[in-house]
Amino acid sequence: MTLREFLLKNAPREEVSRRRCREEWIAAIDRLLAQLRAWLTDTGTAELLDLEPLEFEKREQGLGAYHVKGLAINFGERTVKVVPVGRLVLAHLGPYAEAGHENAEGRVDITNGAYKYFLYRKLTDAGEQWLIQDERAGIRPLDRDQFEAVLQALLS
Amino acid sequence: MGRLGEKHWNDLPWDGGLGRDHHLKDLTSAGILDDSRTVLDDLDDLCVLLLFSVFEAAIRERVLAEVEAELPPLRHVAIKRALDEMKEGIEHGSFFKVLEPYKDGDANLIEQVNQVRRYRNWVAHGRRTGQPAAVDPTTAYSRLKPGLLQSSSFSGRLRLRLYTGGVG
Repeated sequence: MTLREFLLKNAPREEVSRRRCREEWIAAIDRLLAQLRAWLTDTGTAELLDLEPLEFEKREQGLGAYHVKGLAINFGERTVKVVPVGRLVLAHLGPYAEAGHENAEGRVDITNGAYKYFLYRKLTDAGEQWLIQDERAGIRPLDRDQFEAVLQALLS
Repeated sequence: MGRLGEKHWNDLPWDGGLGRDHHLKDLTSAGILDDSRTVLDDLDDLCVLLLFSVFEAAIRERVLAEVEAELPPLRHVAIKRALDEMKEGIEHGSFFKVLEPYKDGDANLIEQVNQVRRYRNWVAHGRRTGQPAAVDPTTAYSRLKPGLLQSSSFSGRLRLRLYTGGVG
């Protein structure tokens, strides 16, 4: 029996589940970051900003240790960071909750260090949707207009 | 402070008394910004920690008061000793154990509180293990509030402490 065969045979079931959960979350973050970049490119703002990839080392219960990407959006001396917080999160989706999908399935923060917006992932059989919330306004869908407004607020 | 460092620090009138201040004259815009970010990074977790501390103290106080209200006069030393140990447990023992009996009443509510407690513990113990489900201050407050609202006097006290800055 090779080492690979041994590991596959003896891998605890939880490890298989952990890995699946981890990979799914990392892929979700990659999709979100790609979407944010695409919005900036579509509107011609990406060329006015300095987009810098970030990498974070995370360790979560149920997922184990993993590396996940983030994004720094630099404008002059100001920086806004897109920071993955966790796949496991306690946050109710408010009016966007559905039966069986009441809580967020992941959180990413957008912050300039002083003020913070929470991005919550809603995951249903129909797919995933990102919602945004902050202290001043209730939870609402994240779209290009929302993202631009958030960036403008954080960079001003 | 971060905004001051980022936007206005270099425009301040440094020629006067400000420039002679030993504490301020060596500070730089970048240094202030870095320090303010370091503080703000942890502020949310600190808020969850404080919210839970207030909640925990209020619940312990309430449980103790309720237990004492139900006690008949006791004379036997063995019973008195057992009672003292029980009260000591309510006041200073494991909070998980204090909440445990309430699962019979509303298991869901107690589990919601315990989820916040696990995150609080993770923060309080230096974030050394895997991160449990993340909690932001608003969620923590919304999860802890129903438990306190079961007793209006306690929710009033919590609000008072929060709004007067007397948390902790």
